[in-house]
Amino acid sequence: MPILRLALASLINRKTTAALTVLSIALSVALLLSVERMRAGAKQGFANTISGTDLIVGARSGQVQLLLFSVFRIGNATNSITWQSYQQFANDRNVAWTIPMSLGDSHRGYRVLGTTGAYFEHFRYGRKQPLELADGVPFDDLFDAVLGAEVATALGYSVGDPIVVAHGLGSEGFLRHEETPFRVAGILAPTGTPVDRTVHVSLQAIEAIHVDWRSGARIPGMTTAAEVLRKMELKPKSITAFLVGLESRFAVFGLQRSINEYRGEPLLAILPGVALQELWSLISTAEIALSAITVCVVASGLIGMTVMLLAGLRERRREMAVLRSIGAQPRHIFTLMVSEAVGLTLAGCVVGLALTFAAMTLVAPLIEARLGLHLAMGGITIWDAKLLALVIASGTIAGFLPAALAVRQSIADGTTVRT
Amino acid sequence: MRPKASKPKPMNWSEPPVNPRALLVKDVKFRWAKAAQPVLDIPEFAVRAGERVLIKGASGSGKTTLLNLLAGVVLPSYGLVEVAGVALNDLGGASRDKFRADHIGFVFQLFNLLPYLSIVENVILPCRFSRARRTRAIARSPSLAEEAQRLVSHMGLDISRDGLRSVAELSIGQQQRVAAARALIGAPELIIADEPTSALDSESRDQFLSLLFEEAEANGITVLAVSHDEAMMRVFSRVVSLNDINHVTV
Repeated sequence: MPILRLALASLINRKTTAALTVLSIALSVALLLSVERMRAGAKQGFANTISGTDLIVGARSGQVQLLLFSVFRIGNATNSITWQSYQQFANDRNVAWTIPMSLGDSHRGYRVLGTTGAYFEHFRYGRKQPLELADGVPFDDLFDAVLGAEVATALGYSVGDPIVVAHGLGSEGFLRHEETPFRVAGILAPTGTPVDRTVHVSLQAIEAIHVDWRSGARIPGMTTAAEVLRKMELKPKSITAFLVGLESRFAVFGLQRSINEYRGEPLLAILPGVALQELWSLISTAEIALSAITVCVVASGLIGMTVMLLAGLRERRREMAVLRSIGAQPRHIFTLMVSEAVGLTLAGCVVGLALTFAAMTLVAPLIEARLGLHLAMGGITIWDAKLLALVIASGTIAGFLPAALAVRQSIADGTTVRT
Repeated sequence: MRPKASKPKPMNWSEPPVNPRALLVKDVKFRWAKAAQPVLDIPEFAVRAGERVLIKGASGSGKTTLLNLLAGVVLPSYGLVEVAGVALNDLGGASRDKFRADHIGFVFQLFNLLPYLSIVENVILPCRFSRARRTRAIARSPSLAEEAQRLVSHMGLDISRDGLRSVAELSIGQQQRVAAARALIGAPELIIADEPTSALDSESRDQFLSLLFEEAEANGITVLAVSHDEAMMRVFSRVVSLNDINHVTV
């Protein structure tokens, strides 16, 4: 096909402008593909944060708020659940297991979760994967702590190290429970979920560090030694939430109703899937905005290409006249211009894809470590292919304008151009 | 490889049937779409096959329009334009483009060559749009590139010896020689030359024209040139003033 050879030669001849145009398309394509990957990764990671749990129960508030603090460790509980209420539902005959959760303390910016051994036994994430210990054991002693993978890596802890738990949530909270030093008993394997950013201790330990505290303030002059605390009978009076696993999923709506209508105190039971969906729909506004921006960036890349082709038309009038004199038909001129647009777009897509893979290889481990987002690597997904096809189609259409103008110009000029 | 003869002998079996009339313009009136007056009104103008005709005329006298009519780029408002025995009026736009590719070679005053193609690729270009010219070019030399090189060297430019490849390395005179080789390749019936030598000095002009005519004659190609250059007149077999054939009253 002579026209394709001409288009290629013509582009190579203008290599500086062509290369810059390809680069701008490539960057926009790389941005598009990366953002789509992040989006897919975020959505996947989001859905993977919790699985196998039938109900999440907390004090009555909004379902998104309950989900946020119980699963994502974001925000705070407005109220707590009494131990009695918890016990009542934990002993329901339909309930297979429960995981009590007590939140509200932190360790150097990471949330501290008070729970029981049931957490390590029953908590599931992703495709019903259980938590695994990379090192050490679950808590045994009162002051044993089990760290999420990220906490251990970021703070450089290993099994046996002492750690101090602060009351409240700041990174450098000055209200520190210095008298009750914990010891790292175990470190969990990475999960890519908020579990990685959590310090786990027993419910009793949460009680223990609050023995000398009332209403968020220290009781003056009161210090209970660790040994004394060990001998105290620490019975939790309240928890902030609990996860429920049922014997049979058919019981889920019945139990949810009986919890929501519980007369002892105002409680809220939510279905994790439904709550995740609602939360995601909130976030997806931002997600759609992000996608819209990347689409605009791709569009501006393609417009840049159109501008380049249009700018070249004037100085190419002679070239078109020569081609017409040799016998090129208007459709050849059209094909030549569109081929150049397609060539530039294709090159942009290939370079963009390469940039995406390079960026993913470099950045994915960092993102996974920092944000717990697992980005799908591997080859070109079907979604990638669809996006690229869309970009190439748009690039082809973008080439129609300069092509149509070139045809009009060359028909007007004929074989002779007065320059 | 066998060295080629310096003067190629015409290969009669591959030549198109000789039409005694290479060109006929009859009762042609041409008017631009928005103009009130026609720019051309030619009762009759004919060129015999193998003739070398120069049409002279000042700029603005309708030369460009006449060339576009002969090339089939535009059609006359009235009248007949016939090239190599084919009435261009009867052909559709794409067929006229195809016809031009097969039967007409062009040489312009300046900027004949595509800057992004090599010299040889520029010469070969018409063969990419015309199967007939490709067939005739290959009948002449083992390959298109060799035919291109033969024609370029016949026009007095040895690109292999001078190591020339890029069009940008050529002087204007050299570019015109390459353009002539491109017009000649595949032996079209007619070569239309629009001020082909006005960018050349007198010595290279004469040499250029004699080499062009030599190769044209060897292949039975008719040459029609348009120029305002009086010095060109003596090498043509016939000189026509556009004012004599064009009856537009200005």
